[in-house]
Amino acid sequence: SRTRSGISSFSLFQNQQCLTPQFLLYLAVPPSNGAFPPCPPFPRQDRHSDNSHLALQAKHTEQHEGRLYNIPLEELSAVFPHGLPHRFQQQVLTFNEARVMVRKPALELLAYLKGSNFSHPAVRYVIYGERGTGKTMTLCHVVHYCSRQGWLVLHIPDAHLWVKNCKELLQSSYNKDRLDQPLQASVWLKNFKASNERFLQEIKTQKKYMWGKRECTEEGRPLREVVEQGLARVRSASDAVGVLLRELKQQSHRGSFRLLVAVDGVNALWGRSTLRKEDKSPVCPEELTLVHNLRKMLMNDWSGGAIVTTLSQTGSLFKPSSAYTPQELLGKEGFDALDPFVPIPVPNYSPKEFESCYGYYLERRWLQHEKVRAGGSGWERTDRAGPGPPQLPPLCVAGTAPWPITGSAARTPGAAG
Amino acid sequence: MAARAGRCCRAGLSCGALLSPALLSPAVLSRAPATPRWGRAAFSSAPAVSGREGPQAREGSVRRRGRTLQFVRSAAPPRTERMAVDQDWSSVYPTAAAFKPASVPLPIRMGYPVKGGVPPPKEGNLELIKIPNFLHLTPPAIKKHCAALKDFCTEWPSALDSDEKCEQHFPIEIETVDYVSSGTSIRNPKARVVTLRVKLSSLNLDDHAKKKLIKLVGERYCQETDVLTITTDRCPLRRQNYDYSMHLLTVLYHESWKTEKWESEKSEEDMEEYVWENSHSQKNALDTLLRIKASENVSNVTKEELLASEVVKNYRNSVIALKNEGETESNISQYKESVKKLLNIQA
Repeated sequence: SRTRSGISSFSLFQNQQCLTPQFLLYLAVPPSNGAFPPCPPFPRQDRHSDNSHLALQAKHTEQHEGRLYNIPLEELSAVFPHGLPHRFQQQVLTFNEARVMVRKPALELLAYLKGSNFSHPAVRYVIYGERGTGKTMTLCHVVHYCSRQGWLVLHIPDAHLWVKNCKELLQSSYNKDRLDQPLQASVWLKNFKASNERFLQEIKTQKKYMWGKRECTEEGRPLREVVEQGLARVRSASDAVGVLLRELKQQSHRGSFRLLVAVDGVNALWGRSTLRKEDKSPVCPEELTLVHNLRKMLMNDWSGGAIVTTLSQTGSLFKPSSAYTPQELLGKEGFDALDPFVPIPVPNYSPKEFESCYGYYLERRWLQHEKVRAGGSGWERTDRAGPGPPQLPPLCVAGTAPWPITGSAARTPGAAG
Repeated sequence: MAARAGRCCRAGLSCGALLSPALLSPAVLSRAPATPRWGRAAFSSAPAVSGREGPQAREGSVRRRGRTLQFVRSAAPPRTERMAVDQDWSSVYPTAAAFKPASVPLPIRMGYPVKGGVPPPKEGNLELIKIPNFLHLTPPAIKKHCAALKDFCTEWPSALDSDEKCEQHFPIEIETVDYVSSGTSIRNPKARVVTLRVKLSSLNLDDHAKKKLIKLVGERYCQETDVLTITTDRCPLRRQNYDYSMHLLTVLYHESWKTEKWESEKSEEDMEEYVWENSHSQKNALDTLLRIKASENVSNVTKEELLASEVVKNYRNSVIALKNEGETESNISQYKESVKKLLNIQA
């Protein structure tokens, strides 16, 4: 049946041929009606996971590739008030733990960040790849590492949200030609405040800012006041964001803090928007205050940090679904603005990573398979000369099954390899 | 009675005399030589035979259908069975003709196969008859045509023995078509079309002239083969169209060498390919490098020095490749390596 009562509505999987990380995340989504209780965490052999969370995370190297590391849930809500992919959040709810796989692109990025010179201008890294391969998760891994290392993380979860579906557009009081987005700005400010309380207290403003005719923020006040001003007076939220970005940019070179600018879906800033002004004329992203300020932030005229961005076709506007390379998604303008950047490709799961993920789901008893109960690994992987992860046979049966899918891999384990 | 019999006999004899040559057809002779089929016996026996056992087409027989007589000729074996392997095929198909299954000694099948079966055979196959065939244009037939035409031809110049020499000495190719049809008039309006082809590499054009020419002709230029094709048909006569196409070529050549005042306003969008000099990419790279040098307190570094350095040249080449050739895995990885060297990023 085609109802969405179960994880596996048949239509969902019929089109899925390749084993992307997103495909496996699809498997992990619990049914929307919550028909079964979430699994409690239970001790296990950690064959596939790495308990090296606290001290060792900084020491993730190639030997940890393919293994999953744990983020404690309190830390998760502190570091990621926004920004995790939706499916991953549901997986966290299901399994009551957050396990992130250590993969090569993330390791590469972390190596660059560790070895970068912070007196030089900020380097831009652009993570790109096909749909569902794990770009946002790579970004989240880097964000987690940086926040663990004590950096100030400026995480914009999805830049596409700022160029579409905006109910309120106000004319900016600062610049008549620009448009403010109070709702988006205030939501972002709230999440930013939740994750960076410490820094907002320490960093002081360098200029006096006037909010309208009467209110102002003096020089030398902590940035927290700017944020609170933006949250209290929603009309000036976009300007508050602009002030915040400006201050951080100017002060990062001093060295008292490291700044990481993490933007997901950066191609939205140089694309088109579906917003319209009151006279029904289309709005360029350049005319939006938030986008304008973020573009300035992404220039490499400041030092003392790094800029990590992701390209995303999902959620993009007026881009074909097969586009995934930097030039296709950024366009000429975006490429010229971000150039020179370091492109970081994110491929599909390698066989080793796939086995790790599969084993993790088996351990959590999410994928159930008779052979596992008998003690085997649940499937044999025959050595294939060709590249690419082995194809899972269609596990998508029983659209109404409330429980985790029974492995109809039981049918033909040999065909799985 | 006797008179009647005599008359009949006489009639029968005369009829028999008349009939016997017809009946003594080669097929009949070959099939049944021993049976005499003349005379009254022929009249009397045949209807009896056909009435009882049904018409037998194999044997040349006379059937009575109602009150009229029909002579059924036996089907001759097809001509293919008597064809030698080394026969002269151009006498079987001297001109374009429909497909005759009995004349083509090939086991051809054509058509949609029955379920679980094979396509239908060639006998009575409409599909084979409908389509045009070139059985009249086999290589031996063509050889004969050439031999017949040779009397009207002159010798090929011995100096032009390769394609390159032909192109070098005769870069312009003119293509015209002559039409022949059976009808009252030899005129055909399609015969006035003249197509002129020339490779731009054989014309004396510098960079600006070539780009201007390509912009002027637009669709008529093919990038891959570097061939300019001009087709003219606006004049009523072929000679006039030929003159017009040569005139067009001359005008294009001379115009592309001229530079107009407004050509200096050519902008980035008009460029045919990506040029790195004075582009955003160059500006960004230089700005970044200057900032890096400033942070390291290295002054007195000029732009020319930076532009001449190895890393910048590498970066320039990778950006040009990325923009002109499109994005491939190798291009992107080359770009990545060059940026890492430019910004001095170590893993």
